[in-house]
Amino acid sequence: MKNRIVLLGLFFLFQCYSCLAQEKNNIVYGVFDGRTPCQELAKQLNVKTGSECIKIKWRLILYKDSITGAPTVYNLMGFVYRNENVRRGKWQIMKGTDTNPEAVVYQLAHQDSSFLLLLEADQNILLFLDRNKKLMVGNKDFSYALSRVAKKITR
Amino acid sequence: MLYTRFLLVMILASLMGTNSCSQPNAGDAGSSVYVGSTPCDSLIRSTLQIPPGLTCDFIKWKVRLQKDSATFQLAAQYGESKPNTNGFFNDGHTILISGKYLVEHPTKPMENKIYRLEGVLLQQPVLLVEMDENILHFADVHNNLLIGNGGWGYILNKTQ
Repeated sequence: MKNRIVLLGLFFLFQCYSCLAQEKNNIVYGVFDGRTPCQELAKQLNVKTGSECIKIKWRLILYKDSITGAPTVYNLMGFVYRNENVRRGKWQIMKGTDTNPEAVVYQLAHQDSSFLLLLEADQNILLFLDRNKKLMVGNKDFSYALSRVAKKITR
Repeated sequence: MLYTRFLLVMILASLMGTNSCSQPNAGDAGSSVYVGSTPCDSLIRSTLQIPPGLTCDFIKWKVRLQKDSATFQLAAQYGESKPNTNGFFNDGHTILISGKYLVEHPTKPMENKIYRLEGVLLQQPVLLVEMDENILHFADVHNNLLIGNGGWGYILNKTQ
């Protein structure tokens, strides 16, 4: 019994160490804010929502490895992802949209297998893509854009 | 008497129907309409010559590009944001501008097509980068995309 408890303790210690190591190597690449229409993104994220949901206010924090500069993890806040329920996962850089094979696209994965695609319009602006890697079209009030609000990159 | 009135109403209704059908459709060939809400930063403010004393929290745009004549009509509604709505106090102020546009094909910093809108009431041209056939993005004179904020981006969305 004692052995089992010790093993369990060691397992949790290892898990915590992994988390700390991961956090330690991550630096903030960018903080992006924006407000988008609600319904289409709710569908993409497999979240059921009523017709009264007309907009979502987002904050996306992207992290990179402090040594290699490679994309690591992200935190997405807003919509149903609040307080303890912040959406977290890994992100990676891909290439290609429906019209431009060279376009830089960020894929934000999640353990529930849903994912989001964002076109890097430039280093300060991200635009949501649909499942077909086509830019999502907003309306007169809201667009599918996120703007860098911290660590803006001078061009 | 009743029958005559009914007949009159029917004739008027059919005439209105015919009239509306003969109106040029907003989405007809050669014409595209884009809408969106953007911040009201200093560049846009000066471009539209919005008086310094007036509050401008954001701008609601409607831009029609008439591609066969390379002309545009632009409506920019701005003012003080009315809380808990997507509108303005007292409907804000509206600027109507029309003019000609040029299409540019720059190579830096991006290769996308750019619409350069020029009008008498514009202090400087409005530059709109075509992200795809449905999305236009405002840019500065160096063709850099304008950076939005937590409330709005500098995007126009095609409606027709």
